[in-house]
Amino acid sequence: MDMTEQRTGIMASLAIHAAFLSLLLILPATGLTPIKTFQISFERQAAVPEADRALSNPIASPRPVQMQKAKRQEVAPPPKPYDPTVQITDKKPELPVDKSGEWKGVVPSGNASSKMDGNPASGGSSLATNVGNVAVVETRFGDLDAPQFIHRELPVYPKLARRMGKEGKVILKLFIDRTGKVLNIDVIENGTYGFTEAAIAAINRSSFAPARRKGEKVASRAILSIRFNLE
Amino acid sequence: MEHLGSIVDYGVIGLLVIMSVIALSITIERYLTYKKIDLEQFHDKRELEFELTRRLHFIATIGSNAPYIGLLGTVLGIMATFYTMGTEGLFDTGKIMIGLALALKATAAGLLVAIPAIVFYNLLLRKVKEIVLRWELEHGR
Repeated sequence: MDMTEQRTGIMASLAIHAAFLSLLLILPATGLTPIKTFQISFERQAAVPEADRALSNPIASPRPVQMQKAKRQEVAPPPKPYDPTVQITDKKPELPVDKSGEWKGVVPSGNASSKMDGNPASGGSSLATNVGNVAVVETRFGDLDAPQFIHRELPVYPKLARRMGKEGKVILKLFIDRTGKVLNIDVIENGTYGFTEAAIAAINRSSFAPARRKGEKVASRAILSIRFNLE
Repeated sequence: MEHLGSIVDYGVIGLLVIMSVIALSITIERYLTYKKIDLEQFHDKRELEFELTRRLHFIATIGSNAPYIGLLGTVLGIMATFYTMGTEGLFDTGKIMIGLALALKATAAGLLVAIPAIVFYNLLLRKVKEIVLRWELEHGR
């Protein structure tokens, strides 16, 4: 006898809940400040421990590879000298980049000092440590004979960090064997807010060409620093 | 311990949403029933009361238990947070605080379900009493 009431009750209840929940879901999206655009850059030079810095081997004139975030185009491995810097930005692609190779507005000034004290006069020789028969080259991304990205998966900017306006930097040391496989990832500088996780996830989805030494493929430990910036 | 987080997120919150839907639908159904009830149909007061108080206990149960379920969700969330802290050894205060803050949302949801349920329950009880009194007046008892 009260079937109609029951049905109206259930329907009305569901409708009210749906309306309430959708309101709850919509409100935080609109109420928050607009999320900033962001960029993630693979740095050639970074503040790394002194022992590693001694090995630094800068190449000439890094040119940032500009990229629209919307397109998310993949970066094909560019010709040598390999340029490790990638910027993702929502803004128009022509960011201020001057010809000298410095990239503006991406790297805070604090980084400039570390760029200065990179060893300027080393002629493309990386230090190699011999472990038994296997030579493991200590190097860093961006060096002449360093490992290179074949496919570069860009890290996802952590949602929470983005929403909270946090920036960060992660420095990783990748152990890449002579086939280009990543065997191990050491975290040298840990990023907070999930930056490290994002970076490692991206590395795991990327593929690499092994480091070379006198034209031969060798296993290497390469330092890769990834910077997460908001604009 | 990752799954504990999803238990809190989907299990507890989902359960609370289901309880809320049930409570509200019973409330609306009861209200409509009370509105169109025909006192002449009932010759016995107990028969009337039986018809009036049907399913009301659901609302009372939901109203009294929703906060506990929310609290359970919060406790599980805090457990998960501390567990990850223990295993990963993260000393990132921000992450810990965010974990704890998000755990509290289960309690908030529980209270959000319980408060209207109790209010509706009391309103419906009052309505039942009114109808019974009206029946008594009409049947001169």
